[in-house]
Amino acid sequence: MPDWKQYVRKNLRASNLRPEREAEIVDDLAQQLEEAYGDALKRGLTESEAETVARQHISDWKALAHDLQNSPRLAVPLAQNLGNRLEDAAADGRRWAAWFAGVSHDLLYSVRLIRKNPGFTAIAVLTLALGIGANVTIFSWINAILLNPVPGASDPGRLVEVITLSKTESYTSMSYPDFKDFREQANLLDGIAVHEMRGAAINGPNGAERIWVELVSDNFFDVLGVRPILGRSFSIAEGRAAVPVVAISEGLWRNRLAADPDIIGKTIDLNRTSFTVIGVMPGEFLSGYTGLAMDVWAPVQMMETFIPGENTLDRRGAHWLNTLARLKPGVTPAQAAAQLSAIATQIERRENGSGEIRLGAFPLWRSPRGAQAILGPVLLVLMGVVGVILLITCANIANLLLSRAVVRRREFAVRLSIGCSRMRLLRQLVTETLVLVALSAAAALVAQRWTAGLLLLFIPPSDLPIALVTNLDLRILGFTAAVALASAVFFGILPAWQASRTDLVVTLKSDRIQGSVRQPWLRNAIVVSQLALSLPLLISASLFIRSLQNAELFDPGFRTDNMLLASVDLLSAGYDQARGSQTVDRILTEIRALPGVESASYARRVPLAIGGGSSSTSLDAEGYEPPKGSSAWSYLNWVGPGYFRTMGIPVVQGREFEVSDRPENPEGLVVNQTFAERYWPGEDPIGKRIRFSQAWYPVIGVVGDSKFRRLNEPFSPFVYLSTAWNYRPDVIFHIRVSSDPMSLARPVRAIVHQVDPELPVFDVVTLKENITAASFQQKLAASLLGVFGGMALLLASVGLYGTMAYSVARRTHEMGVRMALGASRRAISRLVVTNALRITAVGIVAGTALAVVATRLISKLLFGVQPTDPASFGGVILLMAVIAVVASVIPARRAARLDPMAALRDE
Amino acid sequence: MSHNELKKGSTELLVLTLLEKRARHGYEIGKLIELRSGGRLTFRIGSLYPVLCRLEDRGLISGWWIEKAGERRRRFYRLTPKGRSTLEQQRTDWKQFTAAVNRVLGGEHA
Repeated sequence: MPDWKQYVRKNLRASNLRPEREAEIVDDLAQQLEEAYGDALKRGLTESEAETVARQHISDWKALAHDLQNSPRLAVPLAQNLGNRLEDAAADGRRWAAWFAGVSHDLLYSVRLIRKNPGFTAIAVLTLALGIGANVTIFSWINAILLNPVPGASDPGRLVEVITLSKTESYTSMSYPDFKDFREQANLLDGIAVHEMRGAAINGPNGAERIWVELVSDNFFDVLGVRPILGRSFSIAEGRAAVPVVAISEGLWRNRLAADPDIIGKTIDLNRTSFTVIGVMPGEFLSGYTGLAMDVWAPVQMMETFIPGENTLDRRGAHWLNTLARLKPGVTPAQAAAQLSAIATQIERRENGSGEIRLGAFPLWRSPRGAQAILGPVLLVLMGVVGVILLITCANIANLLLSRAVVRRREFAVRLSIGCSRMRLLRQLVTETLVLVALSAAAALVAQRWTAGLLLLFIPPSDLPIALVTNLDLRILGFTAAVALASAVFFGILPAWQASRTDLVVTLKSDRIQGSVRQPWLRNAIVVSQLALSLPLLISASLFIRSLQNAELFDPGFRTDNMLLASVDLLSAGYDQARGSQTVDRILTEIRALPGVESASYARRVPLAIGGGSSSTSLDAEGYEPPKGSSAWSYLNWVGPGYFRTMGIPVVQGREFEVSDRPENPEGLVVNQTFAERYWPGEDPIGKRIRFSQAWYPVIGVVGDSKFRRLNEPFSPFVYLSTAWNYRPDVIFHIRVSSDPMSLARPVRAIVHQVDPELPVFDVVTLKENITAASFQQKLAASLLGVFGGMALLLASVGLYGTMAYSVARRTHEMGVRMALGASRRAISRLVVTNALRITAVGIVAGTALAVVATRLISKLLFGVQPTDPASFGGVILLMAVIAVVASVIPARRAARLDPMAALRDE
Repeated sequence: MSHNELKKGSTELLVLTLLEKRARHGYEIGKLIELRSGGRLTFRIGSLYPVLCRLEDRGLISGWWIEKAGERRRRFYRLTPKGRSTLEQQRTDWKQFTAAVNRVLGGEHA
């Protein structure tokens, strides 16, 4: 008969049951199997057949073990379970397993220590979780914007953004004919694609809704390596002729189209045109723009539907498309850029007979425009900042652990004396450190879900479809692990080194806790480094706060107060040009008649808005000879009558656009002073002519300079076109009011609704709110640096306080002697405060040196303040000195209250 | 619903019923279910054993060892007072449930 007991035991092994229970279970099951075997024999089966029958009674041992483990009565608790497993392995006789079993013992010991000192553990874990959490949070942002700029794209390392560098002073986009040439000739690329976004209206049963469309070349998805989850992507034919087809986002498909599985081939209405849905793109893919999520993708050939009256597909001068390319494996961006530049120069020579064009190919994380350009520099500064925070945190924990090491000296000495090796002791300490770190990292990861979303709070209001993917991924997990391990090394090494140097005899003989002789300088060094590290953070925070204040007070060249903005999009609502301009005029007339409105106008773009207006163009200025290889250029805006009056931009010469400017009159332009001075220095600009594309237009007015893209940009040439001659269906009403601008939001909506109930009004905001975009970088940096700087200061002052309190405790005897010899209580407390100030002074000197270097790194982000701003330096240094005094007051008073007799007895 | 799922839902009730009159050991319970159901319900040891453990965890049955000379020790199970009241409850529930299901099934045919 088979040995059923052994059979059961063998199969139930490694199932983590309590040993005494396991024996019972084995007995019980073996007995039952034996009975089944016996029954089978009785039915006349052979021995081997009976054995098979019995075995079939328990076919899935894993499932059985799993079921039994769910019983608390039978299974071993988790922590013990781990130990058991490791000890099992040790029993196998393998050396590494024995080592691990030892670690598991260390682990159990660490867990017990943690449970015995919940206060210490809580403080250590919380502090460290703050430090690691700050790093994980900033890294998630960097991950979303710089490391994973186009989520869903395959092999993003080979993607580059292609930008024309030399044509004008700013970066210019690509024209469609140029793109076609590049696509044909650039053989170092695996593909080159163009894209450009526009707002559009999707028409449904509940009226029109505003969505975002990305106009793309037919190969866009292939270049990015994104596959549709349903249907197909665009075909070559759809890149040659206007075919009304769209790919839609998974979000739109699920939310608006009820995830219709048969959506392919059905139509949706965009801007009152029927489009056939050919594909649904995966939800993880947002768009070709970092941080923006599109709803639909349409072939660039369909531009007429989304940008009517501007069919520029055949115009080489129309630079309006963004370009992404995929490098062939092994090709560097520089090689690709060189080839693209050569092709561009060739085109330029063929078309214009001369000129040299330089193109750049930037890895996506270094793209000079988009979210990367806006957030990248700030994020890198913040990454440095949180690194410093982590160092300070580690210093604090090291300090805590040092104090504990003193308390535990006897424990270590006893363990050493009964034969524990120093190596083993070290390993115990390292394990304890790792447990602390693991708990903190886990807490930081849990918090990341919320903290990662904080970035969106800093992003100013705008109508852009902003979306950042900050979900946990492998990269963030890996980073967290690395940061946690690095911090473990930082704060674990000192205490471990100290402990391993425990002097057996001295420690065992002493029956009370005593600090080592080496300790004071070590602790002082830790505090000095904490103070020194927090100083640059606080000074940078102060510099950013002053930048923000300066930005508030700065005159951008137009009035920012008491202005209400409201946007309408006549194109989406299906207006043609004639009806459109009539409607805009009617709305404007009625808005001007509202009580409280001082003046009103409209424009295509609002200055200093996020993603607001960076439309620039190359042009010819009459009589101006551009240097070889370049051309005159200017920013552009389309504005309505009375725009400059409404904005508070002074008219320096000539006149501004008025209602009397009609389409039938000859067209005129308004330029700013910088334009006039740059292209016609010393001449009268009125009457000079400017050429766009084909025709020449005279200048009728010159207006004051104003900031357009950023507060800290130099004034740039600017041309204003009147909507009287250049119809714009998408305009933003600018309404100057005498009181609170938001009080007019409702009346303005009512007017538009009255004119056309179908016409949606969106983005009704104050100008002030809208231009916060301009100081967005400073605001983000100031807020976060303020928080982090405060954190650093708090940690450093806690460290200082701890050190002072400890030194008072250690020098009790000395102070008793001093008092006995006649020192006054005042002298004693002065002793403590002086000591604290001495440490702080060293910290301040070192910190100031660091700050001088660090603030130079952020000088580009500052506005109106020097990186060596004396007020910031002085203020922070003073603050630190005050904190040093405050942190030493309590220990000083304790020292002063010492009873000299008791202090003398204290050895 | 497959036969198996029906079986899963009623296993506890079957076990408790068999222990109502007298204590029995594990293998015997499985055998009795097969016997009384005319071979229509069979339980292997591997699937019945966790059920017994679970019932014991919940305090509905209690087990103890009985040793006889010359035999392996056997674990017997009997109903606890709590198990007895649970059995009553489950039996009522089951009858009401099956009656309700039958009424619906009958209704559809009619």
